[in-house]
Amino acid sequence: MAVGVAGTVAGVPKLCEACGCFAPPTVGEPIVQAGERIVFAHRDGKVVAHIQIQYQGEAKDFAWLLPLPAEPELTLGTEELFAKLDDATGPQFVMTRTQGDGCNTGGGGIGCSDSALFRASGDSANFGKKAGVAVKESSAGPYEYAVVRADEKQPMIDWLNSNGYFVPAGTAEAVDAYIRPGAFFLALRLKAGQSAGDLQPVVVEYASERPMIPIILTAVAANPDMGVLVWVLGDSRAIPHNYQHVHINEQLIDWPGAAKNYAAVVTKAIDEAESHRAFITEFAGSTDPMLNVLYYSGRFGSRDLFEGTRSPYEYVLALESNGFWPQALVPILSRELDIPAGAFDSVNAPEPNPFGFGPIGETIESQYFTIFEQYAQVKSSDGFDPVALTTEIWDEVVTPTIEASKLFRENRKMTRLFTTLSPEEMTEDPVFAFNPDLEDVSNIHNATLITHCEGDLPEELVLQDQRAYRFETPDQIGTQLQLVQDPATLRIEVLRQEGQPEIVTDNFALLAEGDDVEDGGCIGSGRTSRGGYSLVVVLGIAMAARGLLRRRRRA
Amino acid sequence: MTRAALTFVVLAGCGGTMDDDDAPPPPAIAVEIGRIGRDGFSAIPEHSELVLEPGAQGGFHVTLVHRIPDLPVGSEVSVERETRREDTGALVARARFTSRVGEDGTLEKNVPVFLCPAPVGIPVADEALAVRSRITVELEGGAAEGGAGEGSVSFVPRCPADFSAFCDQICR
Repeated sequence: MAVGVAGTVAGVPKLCEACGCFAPPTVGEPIVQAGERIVFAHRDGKVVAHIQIQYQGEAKDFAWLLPLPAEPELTLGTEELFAKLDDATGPQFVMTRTQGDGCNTGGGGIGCSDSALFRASGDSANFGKKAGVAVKESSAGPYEYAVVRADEKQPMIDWLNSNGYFVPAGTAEAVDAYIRPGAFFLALRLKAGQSAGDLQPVVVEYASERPMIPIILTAVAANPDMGVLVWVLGDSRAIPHNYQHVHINEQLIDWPGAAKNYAAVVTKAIDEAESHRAFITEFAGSTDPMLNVLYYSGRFGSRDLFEGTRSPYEYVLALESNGFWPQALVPILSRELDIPAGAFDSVNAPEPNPFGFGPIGETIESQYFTIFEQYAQVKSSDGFDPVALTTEIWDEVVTPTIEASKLFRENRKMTRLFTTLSPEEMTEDPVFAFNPDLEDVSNIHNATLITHCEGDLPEELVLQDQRAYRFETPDQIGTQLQLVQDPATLRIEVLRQEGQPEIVTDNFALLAEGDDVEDGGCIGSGRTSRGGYSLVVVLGIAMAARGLLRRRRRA
Repeated sequence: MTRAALTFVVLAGCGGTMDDDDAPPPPAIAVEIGRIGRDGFSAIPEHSELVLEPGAQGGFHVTLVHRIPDLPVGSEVSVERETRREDTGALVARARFTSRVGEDGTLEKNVPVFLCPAPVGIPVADEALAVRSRITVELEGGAAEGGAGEGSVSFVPRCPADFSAFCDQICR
């Protein structure tokens, strides 16, 4: 939401530390797309936007600019909100292997299940600053910010430039759509001495009827096919108001390959929509799974406990035993404990357990605390000020986390929407609305790979909608995106604020009938599955999904 | 509906002494939809042309004001408002909010009718739109209805000259 990028890694999973990105996809983890990541909610006539700023570049070059309809209130957010939302709503592709004709096991057994994830890449944008009349200048956590009037363009641009706020080339033209009487811009930069790794989500609250992403401004510094991931919280399922909506053709997913081509499939599907503008709903459902996740009774302990500690090591142990999420502590503890940049490079996601009893190895959280403890043990207690440290942690970690937890008590439903956009497609700001008539959307997608043990029968991939495709080897499954001319959309539709979706294009019949594709050596032939598979497929889906969830909870 | 009669219903509801089955139907209240000008509130004549107002985040809206002349100042009301294309009935905008009744009977809070960007495939600029607002009087504690009424108006939104190109782009 806003402009201000400095680099993006599109489609490439990337391991980050404090920035809250996640480890590369591995079997058993959920798919996650990075990019612009925003959580929208509505409270008392105001839009509440939690915005995760992703930035790659020098801290001194970081700037971020956001057009707003009213003077905003800005507070710090928490990276943990996005991490836990990813856990709860990220798409998961679960492929169940089963045996078919001629197999001694009697068939129907539940084989190993693979879940593929992908994290699309992140984009961010760099933004500029104040205008002729600065309404407010203040700071929050690692940021300095200014609220500037956007009644006129040039005074605002001049003010930003003269006050040290970086204004990316092209901003002057891009802001035209937002310059009008009564408008404001929020400009953000890092305080001196902060690093780009200190970027913490921000919460912006402003009077407005609807959540909207000022994507036109983002075009200034966006990479091709930049991912935009939005959660919209409310009383019912959220919809893209002025963008189309697509369902992907899951035939093209690389099921055996951890769905690593998910971003590419989505991008191709989006490009089949009108003006290449559409969203996919990755999840829509109750906020119940997020209740008591960010905050529960007893979490964080009491300030007195921390303020009474006598050494950094004792302090770190208290943090760990009181349920702190260590990634949120990295900027503060790195300064406090003199932890050098790169110290967390060794943190890795634990390996999935092939036997299904939870991942093998230390959790990410445990690895972070191990590093904290190593540096805390050698840190002198001279000059240790637990009161000041506790104040900082409460202001920048505890309070933002507790505030974020309220989102899920105040809103019954959450909807996760994703799209990819290239700069030339960023000509209309996406707006979101609600439709109480629409059904929930699961984030778990299933397929069954049937291997026959008799003769030369090809393997069959049976999708959840009963479409079945034959492959000579499983390796061919993930290659179809490049080789098959089939559409990447199962359906293109328009979602309204009432009623059921209006279908624009329905490719199901085309894809189900199949065309015996012989392109490049018989990749697959589509057809609907025989009814006999149904029970096996359904059982496999249920069991595989339960097993996956169980493992993830333990993780 | 007189103010005295409405007050009676409100008091009865608050006291909780009336059996729900015996409760009279909530009184109908008059609802006017208009705009605030130099001379205060004025109702919008049917099929008026209204210039779209630019919002600061790049959209366009019109500001409509609700007036409920029969309610006491300070009454809390709920507003459910729908805006549809008059010709097709297609839903363009929907809003739900609460407000108190101000000194002149107008609501203290009036959420703009968000019109642009227009919904996919439903142009709004230069198209007749019908607004229908249902007002419900909130009683203390929210236990029962203290009255309800509906107001409606139709108008044709026009793009402002200053932003005509951009407005045409996202309102049609």
